[in-house]
Amino acid sequence: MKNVRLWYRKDGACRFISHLDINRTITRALQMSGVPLWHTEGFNSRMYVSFALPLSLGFRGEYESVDVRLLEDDYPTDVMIEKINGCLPEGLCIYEAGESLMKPGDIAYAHFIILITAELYSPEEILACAQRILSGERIVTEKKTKKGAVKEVDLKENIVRYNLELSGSAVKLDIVLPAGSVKNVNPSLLTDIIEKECGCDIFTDVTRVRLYDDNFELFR
Amino acid sequence: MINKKIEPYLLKVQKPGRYVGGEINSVYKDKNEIDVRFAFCFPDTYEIGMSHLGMKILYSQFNSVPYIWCERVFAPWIDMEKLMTEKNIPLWGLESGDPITDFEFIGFTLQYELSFTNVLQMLKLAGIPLRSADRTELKQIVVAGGPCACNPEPIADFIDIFFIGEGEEVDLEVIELFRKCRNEGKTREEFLFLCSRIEGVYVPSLYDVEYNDDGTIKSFSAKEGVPQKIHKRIMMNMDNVFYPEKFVVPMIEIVHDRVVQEIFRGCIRGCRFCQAGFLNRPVREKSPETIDRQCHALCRNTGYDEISLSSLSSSDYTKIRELLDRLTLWSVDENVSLSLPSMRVDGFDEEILSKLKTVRKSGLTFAPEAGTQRMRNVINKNVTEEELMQTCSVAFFGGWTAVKLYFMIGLPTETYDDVLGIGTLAQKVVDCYYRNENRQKGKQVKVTISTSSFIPKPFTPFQWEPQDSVEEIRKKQMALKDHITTKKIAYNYHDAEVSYLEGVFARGDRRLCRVLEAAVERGIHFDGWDECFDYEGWLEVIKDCGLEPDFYVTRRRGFDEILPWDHLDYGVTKKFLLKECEQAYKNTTTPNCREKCSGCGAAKYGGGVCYEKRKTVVS
Repeated sequence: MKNVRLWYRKDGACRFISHLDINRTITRALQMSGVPLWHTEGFNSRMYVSFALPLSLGFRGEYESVDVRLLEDDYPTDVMIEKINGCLPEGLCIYEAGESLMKPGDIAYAHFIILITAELYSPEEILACAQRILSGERIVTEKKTKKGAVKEVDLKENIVRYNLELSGSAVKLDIVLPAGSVKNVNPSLLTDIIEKECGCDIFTDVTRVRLYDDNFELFR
Repeated sequence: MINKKIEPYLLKVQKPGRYVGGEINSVYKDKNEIDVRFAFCFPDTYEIGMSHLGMKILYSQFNSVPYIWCERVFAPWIDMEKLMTEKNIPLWGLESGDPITDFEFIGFTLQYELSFTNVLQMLKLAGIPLRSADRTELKQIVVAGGPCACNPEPIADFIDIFFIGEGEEVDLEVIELFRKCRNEGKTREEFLFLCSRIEGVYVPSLYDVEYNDDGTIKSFSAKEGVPQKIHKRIMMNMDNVFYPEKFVVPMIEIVHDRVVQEIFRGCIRGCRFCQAGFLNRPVREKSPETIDRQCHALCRNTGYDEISLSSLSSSDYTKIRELLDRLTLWSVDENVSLSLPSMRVDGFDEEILSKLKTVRKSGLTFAPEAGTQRMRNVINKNVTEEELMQTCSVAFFGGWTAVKLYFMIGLPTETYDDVLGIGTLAQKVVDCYYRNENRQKGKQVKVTISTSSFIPKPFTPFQWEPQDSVEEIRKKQMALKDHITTKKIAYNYHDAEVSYLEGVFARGDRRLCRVLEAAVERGIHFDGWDECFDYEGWLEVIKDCGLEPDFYVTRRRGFDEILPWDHLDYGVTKKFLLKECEQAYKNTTTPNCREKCSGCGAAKYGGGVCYEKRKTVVS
């Protein structure tokens, strides 16, 4: 038996499904692929799959991973990838498979690229709004805790680094935020504030491009 | 392909996964290489429509024809609808993302009366004229089929062609005829006229209805050259009938998210309230070999790990043991679980139970339908209390602690004794649990009873019966609720107003078309959804159209009255239905098709259970 980390992209139609649905869709594809994978041995036996870090509905992901257990140690990687990809819907694609070098719990930061547009505002106007928000001393918002209470967070102190610029007809926000099981900041908290500042509907196109550990080492 | 116009707005609506397509096994074709585009519309949300087996079958079958591209279309939820209207985006097909406005065929499946308004709403969203008379070119042919096509009159003005009976053959014949007519430069009228001569096709615009002063039908007549009676189509050899090897596998969770395998059509039982039981006669089974092969292919091609063996009464499948043996040969190794819905109380035993349990334990549900033996005899549900207790014992012995029981209230000849009998029966099931030595210790039993309100349906022996009023149903529900004194029994009941509205359309006539049109104009649709159902609004629309809803719902029809669906023939004769109705009044049951033929008329199809060797007959 061998642990394998499958690396995939989430895009296209699959961008619009939730993490739970991604889980179901990938599990089914794995089942369909016929790749010999380990099932749990409890009363309700199911295929073992473990996702590194959930990705919100609507986000694209370029650096997503799921751990599975191969029953045959010498099962060829390229055959496995090809078989699984043949069973995945539009927008999900495995591009690499390998050993898992870090634990999902080690993930500490995520790098996002966010494109912002609006129907009523020009990119320059959005840029100005976003700059106003991001250059402020504090960016205060409310976040619901798991227990349902509302707590105030300052996003500003959580931003590791960011870069804001015009990119064609959109505003491009390149940002690194805390992510993982200990502390997680969803970039939509920030884009919601920018939307409020703009005072009109904005469209955000979010891509999670990389994940890092505590020391800013790439998650592997 | 995601519709490009809608893509930017997808994150502004609930569950955007409903609108993007791209699922595994969905079919894409080159527009330039096809002749006919077919929009297969399900008049409800994605999650409901994607669970429907008929759509899966016909979608695959249509797409197996090289010149047809069939796409799926579902009713967009109200948030999406609002956006589409605001941004002027017409309803599109999930596969191509193209508007369905100019498709050759727009097909609807009519599974329940309360989806009629959604049919109109979807046409509206697609920018297609609602009334058949307002569509003049040889395109936008609006067709419909499914169980509610057995009384098509309430939506007759909007549909060009109804398919009566099973669609596998007739749909393709109509599409082929269309192609021929278009090549020959024929008009829409000429095409529809030729269609009406295909067996199983009903073209409502070719028939005229006249009414008496009291609102009943005076005459129903076919135009010249058009058949007076429309006979249903039926597939007699179930092993040869088309069945898909692949299902489109949804990415978001749907209602029935599993492989659905049809094991037979029809039902031998003849429960007198059950429309499906009469519409689909005679019973025709698939062989275990076919079912096994189709199940295995479907599991392999979808990645599903659950199979539901579907029919109107699974335990009546004659080779159920052989089938389960075959299936478990591979299902256990492949981690696939089996479930048998629609089990009869008397068809349940430990052997079947153990096969179903091999992988995963599912819930247990039985439908005694009525609380007293007298009432069960009236509806011909030939199940006894002893059988129910026996079955529950087996289940409790096998470790189950929860049982669901389904009942109906408002049945013909029902008294309060019958209604309260439901509670008494549930209490007996609770007692049965505590008498069982082998029950799971320390666990409480949970008996859930659900009552739906009886709605008399066309082509059943109760088609002439009055339906209970909203007030009467509520009184009965409250009486039953008060009769239950233990927390071990949970009682759920259907909304009486929803059942009333369903009753209007179930046995309605053509005059209701303008009611539907007016309702949709006022924004009424998604009537099957609590958050959208607008009873007051409906009553107002019906009144404004000059009609009286009680005429359709609570009125007893005369046996000699011309019923709105009398021109359709589903095999079962009116004479037989009448005889069954009289038997019901006498509390007398009728044997099932395997015990004795009662001469319903379905034998004319020349196959199925009608020609099986009966066990009681000495050969």
